[in-house]
Amino acid sequence: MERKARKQAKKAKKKGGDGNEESKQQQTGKGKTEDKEGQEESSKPKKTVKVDKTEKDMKKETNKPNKTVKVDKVKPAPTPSTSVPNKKEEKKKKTPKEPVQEKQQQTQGSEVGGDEADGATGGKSKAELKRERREKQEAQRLAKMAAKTKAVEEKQPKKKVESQADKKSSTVDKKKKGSGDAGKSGKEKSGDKKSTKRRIPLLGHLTPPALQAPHAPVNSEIIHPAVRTLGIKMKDRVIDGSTARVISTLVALKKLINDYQTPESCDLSRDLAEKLAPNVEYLNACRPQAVAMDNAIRFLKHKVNSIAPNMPEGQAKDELRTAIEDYIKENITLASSAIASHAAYLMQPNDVILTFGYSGLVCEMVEAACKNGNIVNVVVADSPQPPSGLAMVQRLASFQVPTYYRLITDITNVMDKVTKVVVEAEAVMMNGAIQGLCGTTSLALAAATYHKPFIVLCHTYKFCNNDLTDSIVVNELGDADKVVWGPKGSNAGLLAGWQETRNLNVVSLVYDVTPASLVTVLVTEQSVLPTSAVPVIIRRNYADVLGQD
Amino acid sequence: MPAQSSLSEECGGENAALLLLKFLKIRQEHKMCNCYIASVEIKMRPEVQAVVLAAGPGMRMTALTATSPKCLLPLATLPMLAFPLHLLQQAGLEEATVVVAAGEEVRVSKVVEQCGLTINVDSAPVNTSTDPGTADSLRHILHKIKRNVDDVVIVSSDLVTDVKLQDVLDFHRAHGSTLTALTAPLTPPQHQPAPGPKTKPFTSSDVMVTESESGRLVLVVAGGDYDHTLTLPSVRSSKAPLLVSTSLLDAHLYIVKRSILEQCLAKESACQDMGSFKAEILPYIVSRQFQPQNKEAGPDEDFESLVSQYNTSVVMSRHHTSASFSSITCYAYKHQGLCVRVNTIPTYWDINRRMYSLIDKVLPGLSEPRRHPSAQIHEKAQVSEDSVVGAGTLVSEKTNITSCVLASHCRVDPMARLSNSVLAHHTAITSGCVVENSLVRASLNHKCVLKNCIVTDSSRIQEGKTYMNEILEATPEFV
Repeated sequence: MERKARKQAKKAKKKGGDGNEESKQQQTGKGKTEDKEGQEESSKPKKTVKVDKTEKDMKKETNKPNKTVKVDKVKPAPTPSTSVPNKKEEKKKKTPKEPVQEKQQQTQGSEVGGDEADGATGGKSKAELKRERREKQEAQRLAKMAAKTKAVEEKQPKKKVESQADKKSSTVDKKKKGSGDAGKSGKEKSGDKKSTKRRIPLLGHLTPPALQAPHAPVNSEIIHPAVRTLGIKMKDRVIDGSTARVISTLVALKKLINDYQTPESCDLSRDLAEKLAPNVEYLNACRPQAVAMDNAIRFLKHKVNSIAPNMPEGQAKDELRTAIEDYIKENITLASSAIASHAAYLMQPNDVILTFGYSGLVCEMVEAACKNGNIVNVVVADSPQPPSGLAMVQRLASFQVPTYYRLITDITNVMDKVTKVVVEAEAVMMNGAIQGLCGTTSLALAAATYHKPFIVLCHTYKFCNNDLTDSIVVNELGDADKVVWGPKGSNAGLLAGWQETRNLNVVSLVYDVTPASLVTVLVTEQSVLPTSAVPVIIRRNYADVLGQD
Repeated sequence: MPAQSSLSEECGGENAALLLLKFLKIRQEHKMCNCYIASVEIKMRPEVQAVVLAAGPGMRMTALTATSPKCLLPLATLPMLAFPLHLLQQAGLEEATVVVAAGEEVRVSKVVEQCGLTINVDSAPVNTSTDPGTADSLRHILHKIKRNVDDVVIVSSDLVTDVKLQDVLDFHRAHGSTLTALTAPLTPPQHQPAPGPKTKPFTSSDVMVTESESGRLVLVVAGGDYDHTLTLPSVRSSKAPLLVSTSLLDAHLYIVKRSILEQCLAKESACQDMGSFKAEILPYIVSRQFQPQNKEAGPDEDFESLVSQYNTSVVMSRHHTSASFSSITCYAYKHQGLCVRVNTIPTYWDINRRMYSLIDKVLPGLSEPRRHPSAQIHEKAQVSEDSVVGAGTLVSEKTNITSCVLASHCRVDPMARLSNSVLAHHTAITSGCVVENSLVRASLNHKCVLKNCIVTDSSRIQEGKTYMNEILEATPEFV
């Protein structure tokens, strides 16, 4: 008995399943016809349709802006004869609602009510026309955005309904397609991890920080273990600061060269250059390269390229290894002590020095000044995230230097006591602009306001033959979550869900750019220079390396 | 980006052209093309070597391991060993050294092809008559560890987890760790009670002391190495808050620097008499972190001190400016997810029963179907959706199977009723049997009723009898 009953249930189930399939087919069939109509009648009195309407309007308007009013005035065409499709339609139309919202969240448009257009038909008031215009602009903006992401999206298989809709719209012009894609991209993005995909206005061109190291199998044939370890350390900010990154990069590449073997019938220089490229790219994918790293890698590539083809492998490798060691020694170890002694001469007894965050060079300078007999006071201004200045204070304390620790928000209170502002640059641009860790410019501005000298320490290998005038064009995005989670306390995590909050952007930039006019003097290992001398140094020292591209 | 990609395409094209040119040239000269291709592919130095310890006798599940080695016990339809091997393969490892009990090499090496794995297995037999510990096994295969790898991954054959080895490795690399141990919160079995007579868990759990934020291992004491009380030695130089935990499972997956492993396993080292890696060598390495060390005054090849001098990082590591890290640092990677060691009957039972829902998680990419296409299920048989049916299994009509695991080549005769049970390979259930919540590893040739039983020997089953909470195994010979 029991079994019979079960069998019947099974059968019923089967039937039910079939029924569902049938209804699905119906649905899709209806969907087609509706799509057709949807193109013609752009506005419908139903509430559920409104979002869709706006989207379609946007498409229309981008195409033929002159006709907007006309199109909108078209009265709703009679709905399909059967009563069932109405429900279906509602279901169908509800789905695209999400992507539209998502999309707007991403674009962070200022138009809060953009998608809240009411579904009224007939005569348009001025306000409505205005709104339409705004929508039009919005659509154009979206189209632009979509064009950026298009390359990725085109590879993805299009969804059935959407592709159908595309087919039906007889005049598929590029912009229209673009706006359609924008909707789709919204859908795709919502599926992915939120934090990575969110683009911040004005800074959309910067790559978001890598959450995961690029995928490569264990014992990869391309990526050297040392490079890999370094990449992960840089990604996790275990190694930070351009000097430390340069040294460790060179050391990792040295290990690569150590383990390298030239295949038979291949030139070392040619093959090694090929093998280096993916490794450098890996590092770059873990964290965007600093300017100084870029210079150091250029130097190494130049060395590799200039190895004579008939040189034996052992000798060539030796040459490269010594070149790397010499580079570190000349440009970092020796240069640092030269900079420290140059800068120490600028110090006078009882100077109060303001500096920012952790800086190995400033530490050395203070040490050298102490050795000269000039006891200086140091004020370490620090950013709350990351608080690298703590280590600075700890290190200065070991020199018996009077030290003060303040947050950067606080520096105006100490500026009248400060006599000199000394910072280390991450890079120096051709136009004399200084790229420093974010916050350096605030010190420069404070120094200018209080008429205090602003002294910048920098190794010359960090000079770069690019011009920078602002910190938006070239910069690096830090992990915004860390800013939100930074301070530990009762309200930590208050903004934990900021990604879900519309119109809220949390940005953490790594560098800022100080214009040359704010820099009093630039201390390098070669001499104490004004910023106008930067091009001279670059030409003199790096013509052979930098001239390559 | 487009510029880059086109560039790389160009390069690729250039390479191909170049290769072809050279290829033709060589062929003209030597008429040996294979030789050339082989010579081009000089691989990058390998970073990691994997060792799977699969010689364990399964002391805590003797009822099951009497007939087959522990590493080959089936979990659902696959042998246990397939799980760690798959874990390694997923991470991209191409070969693994598997330590097995002598005499089982052939069966073990068959596992790979059986399960559709592509990893190369180098099986190293050890003589189990002397009851070697894990450390002895490692000493035995020490010569097989390549001299140029950085790290050795040691994994036990009884690990079932959904952790990604890549993540653990990244953690290991990022921390510059000497030894990284995979840990996970201990979870009680979901399916209780396990068949057989009720037993108490017989070992106390491990004690792990970690720095709560960084996960640095400060102290490890294996369960069973302490009685009711445990005195924690004062731990120096650690300002971070410590987390003392007895609810962490040590998953027996370790990533160890080759140098330290060789040091510990060498003949003259302090641990030459240690038998167990986990209970003796691991605590030894962990404790060595805090021993004062004579700093090697050799030249700073890697410019490590220079790096830490300029490092602006706020992450505490050996590269940090004010770091006072010794050359040995041990960390625990805390995995929040599935991580089970199948080394007791309750865990074996639990994993087998859960395998239906776990199989996608723990074996991603290895599509082992829950119902093998070669299984023959009679259309009048009732097999519930959540049952696993292996290859070549025959289910006859008028049977009722709910939430069961039938391994491959089983036979269920008409009128049998199975519920919540696990059948090993090649078991036959004769008609009329009723099996509930039982582990069956031998054919039931007589009609009987089993509840909460483990069957490994069918000769003890009598016609028409009912068994409850029993282990029906072959009587030991000496009785």
